[in-house]
Amino acid sequence: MAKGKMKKADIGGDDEPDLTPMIDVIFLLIIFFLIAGKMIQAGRPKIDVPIAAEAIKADKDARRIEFTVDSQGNLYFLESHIGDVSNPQPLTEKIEERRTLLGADASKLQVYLRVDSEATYGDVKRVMGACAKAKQQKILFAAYTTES
Amino acid sequence: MPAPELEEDSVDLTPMIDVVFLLLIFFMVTMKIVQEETELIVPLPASSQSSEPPEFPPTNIEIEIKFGGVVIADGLPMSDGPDDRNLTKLSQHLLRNGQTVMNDPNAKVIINIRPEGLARHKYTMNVLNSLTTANKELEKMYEQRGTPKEERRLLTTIMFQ
Repeated sequence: MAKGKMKKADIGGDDEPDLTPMIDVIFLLIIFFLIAGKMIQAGRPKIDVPIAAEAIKADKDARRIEFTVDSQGNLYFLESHIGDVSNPQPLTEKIEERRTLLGADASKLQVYLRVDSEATYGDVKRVMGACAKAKQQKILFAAYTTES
Repeated sequence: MPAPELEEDSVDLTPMIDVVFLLLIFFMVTMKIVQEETELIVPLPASSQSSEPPEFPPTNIEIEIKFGGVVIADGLPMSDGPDDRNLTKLSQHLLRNGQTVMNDPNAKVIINIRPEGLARHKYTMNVLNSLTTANKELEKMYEQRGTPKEERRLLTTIMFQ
């Protein structure tokens, strides 16, 4: 044992543990959480979407247009406020605009609706009606698969 | 003879490690808050409605969603209270109808969902979730029978009232 200690001292090793690998690992972990967490998407309206265990992961390659309806009936296109559900005309226009841009691929367009779990069906119905008016055939409702 | 006190040349890393740990804890907690959103697909009536009148009258399943979250299908209560998210009874009811469609090529089912105007969106989502559960079960049954995908008839005709 004493021999071993002597050897360590000879090499010039410190008695304190070397913290460098630990710091390296912690920095790596921070970078991981930064990237994996994606943080909160800046500007996206904060709502509490409902829970649906059968909901599936979004198709990243799909052509989609995103709207948000909060519990007060406010309507957002991505992060910008475009009115409220009592007049969903801007939503229809946005969908029509996108469908025109897509041309032949218009049928592949997906409308992704982020609706607050406390929003009323009356509000959702107006939004669905506006989607149907723009000849949209399929809509997707945002959901969490589990409680956070 | 006591060893002479050595001057510490290296930088004291303790405050940095403290800060780094705090950062790590912060990011770990933030990551829990950010939950990934998933989606439930709903075909709108326009896509599933045919202009031609059906040769055989379809079976209509009437699903009512009350303001307080109570779900009634064809006059029968389907939810065990407003917190019943899975609506197992409704899934089974839908599955039974789905099996009828599976066994009879002329059978057709239309699902009419009638939520009250002030019913919360989460209750509608519970019904759609239950419908997806039933469709998944039907898919499994078709799979067992070896039915090709294009011949599988799922419960996809939904009408919102």
